Amino acid sequence: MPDPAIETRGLTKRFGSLVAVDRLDLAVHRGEVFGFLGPNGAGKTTTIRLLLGFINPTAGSSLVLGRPGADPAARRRIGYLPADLAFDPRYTTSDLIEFFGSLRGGYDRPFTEALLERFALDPSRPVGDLSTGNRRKVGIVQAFMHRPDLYILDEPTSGLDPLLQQEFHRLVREEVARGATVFLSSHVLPEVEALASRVGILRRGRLVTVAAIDELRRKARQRIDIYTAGPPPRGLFERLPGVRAVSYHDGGVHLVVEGSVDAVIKAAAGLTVDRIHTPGQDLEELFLEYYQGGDA
Amino acid sequence: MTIFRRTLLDRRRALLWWALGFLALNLLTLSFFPTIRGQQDFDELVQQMPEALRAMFGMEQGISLASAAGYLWARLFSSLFTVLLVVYAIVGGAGLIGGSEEDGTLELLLANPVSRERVAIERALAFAAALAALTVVAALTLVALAPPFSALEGVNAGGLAVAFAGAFTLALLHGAVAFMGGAVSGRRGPGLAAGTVLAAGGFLAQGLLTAAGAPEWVSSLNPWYWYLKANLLAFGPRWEAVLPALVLAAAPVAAGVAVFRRRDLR
Repeated sequence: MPDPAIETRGLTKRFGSLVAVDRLDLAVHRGEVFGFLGPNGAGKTTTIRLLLGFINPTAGSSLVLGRPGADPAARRRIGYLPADLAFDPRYTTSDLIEFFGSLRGGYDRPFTEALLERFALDPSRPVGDLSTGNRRKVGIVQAFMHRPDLYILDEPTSGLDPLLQQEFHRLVREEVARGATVFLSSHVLPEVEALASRVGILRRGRLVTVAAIDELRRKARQRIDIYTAGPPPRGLFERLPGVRAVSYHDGGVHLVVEGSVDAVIKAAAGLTVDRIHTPGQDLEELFLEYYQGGDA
Repeated sequence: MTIFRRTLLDRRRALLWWALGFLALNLLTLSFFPTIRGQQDFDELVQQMPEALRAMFGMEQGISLASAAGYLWARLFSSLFTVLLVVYAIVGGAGLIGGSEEDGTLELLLANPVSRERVAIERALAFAAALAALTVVAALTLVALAPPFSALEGVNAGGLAVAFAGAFTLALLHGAVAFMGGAVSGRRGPGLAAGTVLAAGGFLAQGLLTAAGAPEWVSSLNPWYWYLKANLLAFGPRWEAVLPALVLAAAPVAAGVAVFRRRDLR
C-alpha cells in the first residue's frame, strides 16, 4: 500500500494559550474522500494551513503526498480551495488561470475551458467585479485546473446556490473516479454525507472520532420535538430504546434520540400530535449535542 | 521568472501614473527656471537665509540658485523629485509581501509550487526594475524638455546621470527597508513606518546636522548625506552618491526574506 495522501503525527498548534490543534493523528488514504468535520473554530482551517506549510506546527509533523506541505514538489500535485477566498481584484479569471498555470508548469486547457462553461463563468471579467458566488467558482476552477492528485477543499460550497452545489459535487465525484484524493473540510453535514466515505470529527482542536459515514449516521443523535394537543403523559418516552434525553412542557416534549427513532414514533402514535419538528441537520448543533455527554 | 513578470504587469498602471507625475514635475520645474535665471537679487536673498534652511533645500555657498545646476539641484534633486521617488519606493516596497499578505492574496499564491523565497526575491527584483524604469523616464523627460528653457547650461553631464542614479539607489534603500518591515510583520503598516522613519529622519538630519556643525562622521551615517552633501550637477559625479546605498539595500532585503521564509503567515 502506498503512503497515505495526508498523514499527521501528533500535529499541534498553539497560539499563545489557545491550543488550536491538539496532538492530531490522521491518515487520509489515497483515492478516498475524507470529510473533516467540526463546528466553526474547531481548528479545521488551522489544520489545513499546517498541512500546506503556511504556518509551522508547535509540535508534531505532517506529510502531504509523502512530503512536507511547503515543498513545491508536493504543492504541484495539490489543488487548494480556501474558505476565505482573496484574489487581486484587478485580475481577470483568465489572468489568474494563466498565472497559476504557468507556476504549476502547465494545466489541462480543455478541462479548464469545460469547467468555465460548466459553471457559466466569463473569464474576461475582473475578479473584483464578480459576486461572492462567482468568486467561489473562480476558486473552484483554479483548484481543479491542473487536475491534481490531492484536493484540499475548505468549506468549498459556501456561497454557492443549491444547483451549483450539485454541480460541484458531480465534479468532485468525477475527479475521485479518476483516482484523486479529496480532503473535504466542512461544518455542513449534508455535504459531507453526499461525498465522503470516511469522516473525522474535530472538536476544540482534538480529533474525537474517525469513522465511516454509515457508522456515524447510526451513532448520530437527532432532536425530535413533538407538539401535542394537550400536555403529554410523563414517563412515556424515558424508557424507550435510543432515547437519551427527554424534557416535557405543556405543549409537548423535546427528545434526543440515538439511532433509530422507530420506538419514539410508535409511542407518539397514541397521542394527538399536532406537529413534529426535527431541527439540527446542521452539524454544529447535532454534534455539539452529541458530545456534550462526553464532556462531563 | 513568472512572478517577476506578473509583478511588473500588476504595477504597470500605477507606474504609468507615476511617470506622468514626474513628467509634470519636470515640466513645471523647468518652466519656472527662465524667470529666476541670472537674477542676482535672488541669490542675495538666499544668502540671508539660515544655513540649516539652505542646507535642507540644497542651496550651497558658491553655487548660484539662478544657475541651472543650482536651481535644478535645489528644486528637484534636494527636494521633490528625490522625495517622491523615495515615497514611491516605500509604498511599493511595503506592499510586496506585507501588503499582499494583509489583503489575503499571498496565501493562494503560496499554495502553488513556489517557495516563499522565490516569491519574495522575484517580487523585490521586479519592484527594483519598476523603480529603475520610473527613474529613467524622469531622467529622459528632464533632458528632453530642458533645452527650450536653457535649463541644462553648465550642468555637468556625468553629474546629472549620477544624480538620477543616486536618487534611484537612495529610493531603493528605502524601498528595501519598507519591504523588510512588510515581510517580517506580514502587514503593510510596519513597512510604511520603517521606510518613513528612515526617510523623514534622514532628510531632516541632513539639513540640521550640517547646520549644527556636527562632525563629519555623524553626518556620514545618513544615506541622505551621501547623496546630498554636494551639488552633483555643479561639481560632477561622486561614487558615494550611488554605490553605498545600492550595496546596503541588499541587507534589509536579505533579512526580510530570511524571516519571511520561516515564519507563520498571518
